[in-house]
Amino acid sequence: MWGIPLLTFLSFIAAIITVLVASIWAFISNRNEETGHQEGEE
Amino acid sequence: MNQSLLYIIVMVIYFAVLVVVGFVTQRSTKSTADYHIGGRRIGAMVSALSFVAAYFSSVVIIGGGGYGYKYGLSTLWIAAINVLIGCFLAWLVLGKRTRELTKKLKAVTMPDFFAKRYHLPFARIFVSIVISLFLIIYNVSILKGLGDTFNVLLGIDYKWGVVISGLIVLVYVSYGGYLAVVWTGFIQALIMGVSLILLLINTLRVTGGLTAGVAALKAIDTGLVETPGLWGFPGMISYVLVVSLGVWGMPQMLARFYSIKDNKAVRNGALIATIGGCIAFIPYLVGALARTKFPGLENADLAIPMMVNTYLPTIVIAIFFVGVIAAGMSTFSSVLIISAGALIRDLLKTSFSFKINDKQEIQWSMFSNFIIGLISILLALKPPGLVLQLTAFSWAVIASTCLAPFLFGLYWNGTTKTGVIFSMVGGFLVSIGWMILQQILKSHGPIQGIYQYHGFIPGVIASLLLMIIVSLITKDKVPVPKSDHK
Repeated sequence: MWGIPLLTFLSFIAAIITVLVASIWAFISNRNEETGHQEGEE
Repeated sequence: MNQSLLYIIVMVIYFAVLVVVGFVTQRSTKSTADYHIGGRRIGAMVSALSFVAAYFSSVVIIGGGGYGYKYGLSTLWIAAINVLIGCFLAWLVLGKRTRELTKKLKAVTMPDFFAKRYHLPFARIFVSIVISLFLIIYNVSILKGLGDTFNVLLGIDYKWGVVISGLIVLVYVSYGGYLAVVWTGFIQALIMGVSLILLLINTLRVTGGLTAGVAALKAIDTGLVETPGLWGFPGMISYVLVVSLGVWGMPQMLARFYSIKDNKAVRNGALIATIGGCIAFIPYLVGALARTKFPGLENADLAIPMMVNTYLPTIVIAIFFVGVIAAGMSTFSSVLIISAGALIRDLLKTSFSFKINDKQEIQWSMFSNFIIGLISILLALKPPGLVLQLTAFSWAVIASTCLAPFLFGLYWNGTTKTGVIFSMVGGFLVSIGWMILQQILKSHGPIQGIYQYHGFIPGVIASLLLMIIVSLITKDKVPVPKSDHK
């Protein structure tokens, strides 16, 4: 894409995947902790 | 309005904000824990953005641009791995455990952590000396980036650029301590982000878009767009690892985990730092494209300042200029506060039992900030290399000394005192010995084969191996203390 060779272009893809994984991890960890707190209160 | 006058007005406003932050935070600094780590009450957004500001300083904006100019688009991999290893994985693996353990051990600096975690006063002395000495070299690389920026954008002599920017940081760090560092870092990250985005937009405009820019680059040399291209794998892998994995052993970066307020802030901070880290792509990309506009620059570190000065509108130059200054200052200030902690708290007060109370410790730390800062400024007046080379040298030595003992200290119950001593000293000697050997070989001609790898890699490998092997064969174990998960 944009005339950039594949191996070089993959650097962008690597960063996008990292951001996606970080978002999913933060979301799931926060949700698990909130669920844990609610169970603890019950 | 006169161009220089506009720069000066924007700069004065910015410096005034920094000095005000320094004075305001000084009023909230009541204890030594406040001075060194902000009293462990910093939120996710401020922690993460000040982490990004300390990480991607003028070293990355100016030095990264210089490497992009020299080696082309393969340098984008530095940014990609910075985001993965230097931001996300660093927060994921080190963030929570560091916060919990340093709180439990009441450790406020890295040498303090080693001494308390391993019950090893030697570690405090050795690491304090390594940190104080080698962070000065890092300071020199930061100040070189600032001096180059002042020189090209304002036409001020390089030496005066170093002196002016260095002295302003000294004032607000000496007064405000760590709280000033994180709050100014937060402001500086925002300015840095905006100015880099403006630079990218303008660069793509003047090169006729990314496709045209890449085609022009390819016309100069196809090695400038390929991976590893002109760089070659040894150089590429070395620098990618030094400035990504190196973060895991750098005290000024890890301090963000000591000071963050809770585990939820660590999780959110990890995401913010990962997203913020993506700005690292911009200097490498712009630096590479600068070659299509300014071929044949002797000092590659001038690539970004030249692009800015030639193609950006005056007001944007002023914002960018403040952005680079902000980036350099945020890192310089983070490094200063860590060096002062290592010298005063770890060496003088604890290791050599100087009888000083908390108030005196803060005063002495302010004074040592000033002295270390002055030494850095004097050395930066005649720097011995390119910005990124100096950074990689200091990061390699510090990370080779600290990374393995820190990482194993968080997780492994099998570490022994002897293992820690061998790991620290061995990592230090191997990394520095390797770099000396490279210089000797270089004086006889181009370096070949395995010796092209940076000293960081053998240093960290030696340190990790020594930690595991010596710990397995010795018996003086120091298990990880149980931390309260709050």
